[in-house]
Amino acid sequence: MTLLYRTQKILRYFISIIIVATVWGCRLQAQDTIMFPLKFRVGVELTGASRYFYEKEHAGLETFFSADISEKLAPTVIAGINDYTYLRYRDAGMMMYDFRVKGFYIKPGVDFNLLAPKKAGGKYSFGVGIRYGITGFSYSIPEINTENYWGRHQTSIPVNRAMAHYAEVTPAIRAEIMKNISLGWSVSLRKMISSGTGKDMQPVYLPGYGNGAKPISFALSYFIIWSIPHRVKSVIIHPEEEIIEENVDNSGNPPTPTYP
Amino acid sequence: MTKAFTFLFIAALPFWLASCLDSECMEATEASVKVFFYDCDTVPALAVTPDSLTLYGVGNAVKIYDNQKITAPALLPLKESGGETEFIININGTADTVRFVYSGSLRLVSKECGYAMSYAIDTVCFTANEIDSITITNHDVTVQNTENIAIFY
Repeated sequence: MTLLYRTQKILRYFISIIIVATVWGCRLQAQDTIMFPLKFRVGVELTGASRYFYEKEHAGLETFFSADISEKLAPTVIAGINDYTYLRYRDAGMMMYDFRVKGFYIKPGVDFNLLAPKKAGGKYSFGVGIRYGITGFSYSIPEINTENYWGRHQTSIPVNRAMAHYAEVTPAIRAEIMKNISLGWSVSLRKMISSGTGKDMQPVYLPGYGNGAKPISFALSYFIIWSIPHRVKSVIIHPEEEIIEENVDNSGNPPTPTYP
Repeated sequence: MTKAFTFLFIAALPFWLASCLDSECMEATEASVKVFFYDCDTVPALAVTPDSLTLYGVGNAVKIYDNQKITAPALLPLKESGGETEFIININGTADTVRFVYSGSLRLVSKECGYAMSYAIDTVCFTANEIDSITITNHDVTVQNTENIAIFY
């Protein structure tokens, strides 16, 4: 009788512990995790696409694809095409050169979102991207004019094909302006690895890079992005963040308790 | 959060517009043969510019230097279209002909300055009226201010 009583008592303890642990566990999960939507993203660069309407010599399209694999990390591919004619004049009477280039480029890389998952919420991003750029292009210079004591000299360079390589670091921000539609802009700092044309004939314009005569180029890009949620991930929030946000007011002091 | 992002988005516009502006050419583009003159009677030869120098290209009536005392070096522009250029050099009233045989190559100076020729001197021939001898000190003719030719007179 005593043994049965003791066994029942032990069982009650075990069941109580299991119930308390389960409730506590649920409470922990509710407090310390958020559901973070992971998305595919497809975007179009706006300045390049719109440039053709006011500068007929410059036709280009740049697209952007990325897939969140976590709340911080998204493999990204930027791909684009460009057809550009650049005429440079010394003055009204003399055209210095007529540079023509056509090409495509692809830039695989990774984007890192530096915002806390709770703030980002799948809608905002403030981070940095790292990419490797490859451009395949053909260029020609149908007219080059130079002038010295002996007068004006005209020459040309026929169509050549080349492949250029460069690295790119891209700080960027993105914000969702309506459901699944975001706007973003990025600053691109590019470092030439090889222009593919030799040191004396670097391309005046290299698709995906900019001024190929410079070892470092700089560009700003504006994107409109369509997001497609593909998975929801449960992300654990660091407990200190919760405590800081809940218990500290703007002055940095704990709130004074008030009584009715 | 949305306001902050909108602000940053609009704040970038002026930088983007500024990046579209073309700048001016600020670099030297014309590569000329840099000639220094030396007195052949001194040992070692002293750099002495002639009291009177007249210089012009054969086939071009325009004088590069016209009976003047120059500060070294004298700059001799080569023909961009051909591999040979001749100059008449009149040193202190006595004329000589100097002929350069060279090869030229085109290179991009910059987007703003365009393309320019640079040369590699092969040989230099001359008449020895006032000129005693000529030495090629640097075969590569570029925009750099380095001596290419030493004329001893």
